[in-house]
Amino acid sequence: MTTLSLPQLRLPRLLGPATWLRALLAWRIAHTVVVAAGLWWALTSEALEGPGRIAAIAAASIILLIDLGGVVGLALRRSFGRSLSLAADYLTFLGAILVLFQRNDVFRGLDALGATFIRGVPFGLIAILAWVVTGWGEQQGTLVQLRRIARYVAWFAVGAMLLAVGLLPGIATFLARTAEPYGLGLVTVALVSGYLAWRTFQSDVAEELEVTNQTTRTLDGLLFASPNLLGFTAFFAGPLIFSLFVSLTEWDAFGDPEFVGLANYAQILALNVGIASGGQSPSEVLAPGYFTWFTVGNVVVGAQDVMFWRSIRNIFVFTLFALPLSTIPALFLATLLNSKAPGIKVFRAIYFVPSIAGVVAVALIWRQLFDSTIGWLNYLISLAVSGLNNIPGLTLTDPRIQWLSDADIALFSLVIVFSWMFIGYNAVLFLAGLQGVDRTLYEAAMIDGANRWQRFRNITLPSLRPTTFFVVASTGILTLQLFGENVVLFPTTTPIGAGPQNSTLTPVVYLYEQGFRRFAFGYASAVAWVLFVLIFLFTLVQFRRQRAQAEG
Amino acid sequence: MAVVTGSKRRRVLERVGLYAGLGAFGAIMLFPFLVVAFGSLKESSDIFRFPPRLLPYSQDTVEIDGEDQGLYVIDGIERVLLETITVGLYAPPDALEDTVVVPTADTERRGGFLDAETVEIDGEEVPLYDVEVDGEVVAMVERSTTTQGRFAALDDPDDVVGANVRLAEQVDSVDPQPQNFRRVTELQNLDRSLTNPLLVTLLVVGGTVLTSILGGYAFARIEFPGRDAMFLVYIGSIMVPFVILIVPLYQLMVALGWVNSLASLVFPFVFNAYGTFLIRQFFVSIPKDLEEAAVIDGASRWTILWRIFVPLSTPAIATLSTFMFLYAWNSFIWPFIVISAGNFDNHVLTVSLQQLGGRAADSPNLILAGVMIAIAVPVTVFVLAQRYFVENVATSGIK
Repeated sequence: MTTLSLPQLRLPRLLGPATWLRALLAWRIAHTVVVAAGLWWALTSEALEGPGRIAAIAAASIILLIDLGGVVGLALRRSFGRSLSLAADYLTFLGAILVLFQRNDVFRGLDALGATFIRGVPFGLIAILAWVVTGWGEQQGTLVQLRRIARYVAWFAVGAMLLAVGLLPGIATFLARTAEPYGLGLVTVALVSGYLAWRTFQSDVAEELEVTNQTTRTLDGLLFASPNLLGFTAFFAGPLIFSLFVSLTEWDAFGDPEFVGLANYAQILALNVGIASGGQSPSEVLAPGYFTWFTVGNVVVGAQDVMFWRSIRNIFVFTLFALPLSTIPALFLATLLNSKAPGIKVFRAIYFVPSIAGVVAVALIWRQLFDSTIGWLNYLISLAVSGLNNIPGLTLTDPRIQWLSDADIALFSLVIVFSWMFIGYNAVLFLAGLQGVDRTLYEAAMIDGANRWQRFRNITLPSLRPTTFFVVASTGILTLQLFGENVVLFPTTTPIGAGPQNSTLTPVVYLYEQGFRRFAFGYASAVAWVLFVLIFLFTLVQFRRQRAQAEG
Repeated sequence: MAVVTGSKRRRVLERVGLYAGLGAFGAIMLFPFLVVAFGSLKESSDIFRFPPRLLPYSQDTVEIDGEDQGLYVIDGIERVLLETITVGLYAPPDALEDTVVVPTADTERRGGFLDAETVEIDGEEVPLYDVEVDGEVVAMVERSTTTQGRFAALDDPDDVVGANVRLAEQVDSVDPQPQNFRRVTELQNLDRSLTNPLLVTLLVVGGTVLTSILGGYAFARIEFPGRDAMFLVYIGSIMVPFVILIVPLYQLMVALGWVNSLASLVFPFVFNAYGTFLIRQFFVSIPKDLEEAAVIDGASRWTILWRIFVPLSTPAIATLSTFMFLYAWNSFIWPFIVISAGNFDNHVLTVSLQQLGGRAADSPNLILAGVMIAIAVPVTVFVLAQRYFVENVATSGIK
């Protein structure tokens, strides 16, 4: 297979491949020394602290390892020396640019853009329109003149857009800050390492080291995947590992994390059971440090962190109701939607809308409906009650439900909101599954005289098993992370979103309270990991069940 | 023949049942939206009215002496509210059940303020009033006072009656208040809350599409050792719930100085495993011979990606864009945590609405107007790109 190359930049190739490799080795050694010095500084200096320090140490260590490998490889004239050297220089190049941007407030400059960018939108629309016209002209094959004009218009509109959003002052500020010694240093580092990476990447250097196609492909692949891989490391894998570490520490907003081992987990999970006999109060029979969670008869169950266990109980009850309510009706709705009757797509669209409206909008809508004095829900209920009371012998009282302020009701109000939001979405998921069911199975069953229910029970349900697993698992993951609905419906309770008498306190609400109101980051991280294990177990059980059913 | 007509009748009945079921569910789904849509056009007195009405109403008025006065129906006659006065319920001290209703302005304390006469009733000293009843001045005690409206008949200005204003039936007509939408944007810098999420959403969608195309191409078409394991780990990250990242990601934002900045809403979210997966799956399905001609011509991978793969992948890119659009526009937990409540300049709409909901409980009509704006954007995108939404749902189901 022909080796594919990356975009061809035409830069001068300063040295021949053999000389270049010797020069690269010298650079690599120098680079290694500088990175090692940087690592030493990060390890000893007081200037860095917290996660920034950890990230700097991790990054410097990784680059140092790559550098050392590169030095060895280049000295032995092996192809892995080139690969590692490329990686180190590419990372240095990116790092220098990112640090320059970060120091010059390019990223935070988005805030200023937030105020001005709306002025650029009309020009942006013109540019898109003109760009569409160039494409349209292309399809026609003629109209060369129109295409050319449209292209000019597009470029002009892009320029106008950049001017309108205030790009010029932004660039001026950026250049002024870059002109300082620190900025110039970073620019130099970026240019040098960028050129080095490019030159080392050229095929003559590769041939000099007899690099295989396999290695070239690997480098290409890693280069294309590098934005994702680096972003994944910086914003997912790194934080994930950091979170695990933080959960083993005690850490408030000020000062450094203090390692405490599994103490956070122990405190979260600790339960204690006692039996109250002969007029003892529940708190007397529990070990010191434990508080009553609930009592059954004279058995007292206590926990060190009652709030956490309350949140677990709440989310369990919530899931118990919300999961069936948002999936089972969805399945029946999907069987209704799975027909060729006219207008079916309109209904499908209507059912889908609540799930795209966003949790805040949906919760605010329902807050209006839930209002106990002027809300529609109580009004419709009282209409129904008075209607039913016309039936002789029936006397119902209007319940006048306090949807959001009754501690026994509030959690079920959330069940209603959640189910309403996701029934339609789940129905469309089920519909996609239904449309994949083999139609000949139904025909065979009808010949055998199977009735509608038998067909549903024996063909539809088994065929839908993978879809059902996906729907139940993804809905369950959502229910276990309930947070937004609480915060919008109960904005004034303490903790925020906990509802009347903590009746809607969920694990994420509790996590938010611990992490961002009390600034107990270590404890909050431990709560997050416990919740993660819970979600993982839930998914695992669903998966096992699906597998068992598929086999059995 | 009978069999055929029987099955035909059954089919018609089935259709009726189908539409009845679909319609009932549709009503449940649609009705709350109607309440919001019309509620956002109501004036505040109308939204607090019981029983609630769907359409926005306001009271009809009649101009009297240059001022608008409300129109009511009392005992079947249309009347104008002239003024509200305080009336008292008066009774003689010896016959407390013989009450008369007289405006308090028409009575006087017996003996004046300095030397007020009182009478003892149930052990309490109660002041006496001069009340004129049938042309005669009688000493009475005040049992209670209340406000009452004086209503003149529309066709006979001299026909004036008194009645309780709150119990009088208003003459209303449909009168939408579109200015609610302007008024809500004037609350706590909501105009920035509208443009900010637009910018954030555009950048997240654009960034995700870009990184997903690059990553999807690498994972679909460039074979190298460890690629599939890497891909599996990357895809596995979809299963990790976001809540686990909240605390460490917040710390990272603190370290970068991005707390309270729109940067924290954009950059962590442009590297998306789901997007890479989606694009990769589509790229894998593109036949290899399409690119072979270009390879022979010596085109680079870069050229092949942008000239061959991307133009062929518009459905997948559109699907990803709609998905990311919704995700970014509706995201709430993260902005709620990372943008502080007082920093109105960098608010996004979801956070502003949540705050508004907590604060402005006295103007639900304005909040509903804000909700309408928040819904209008995704619904518009949905109407324009419905095909891709449903496709997205279908692919996530197959996954």
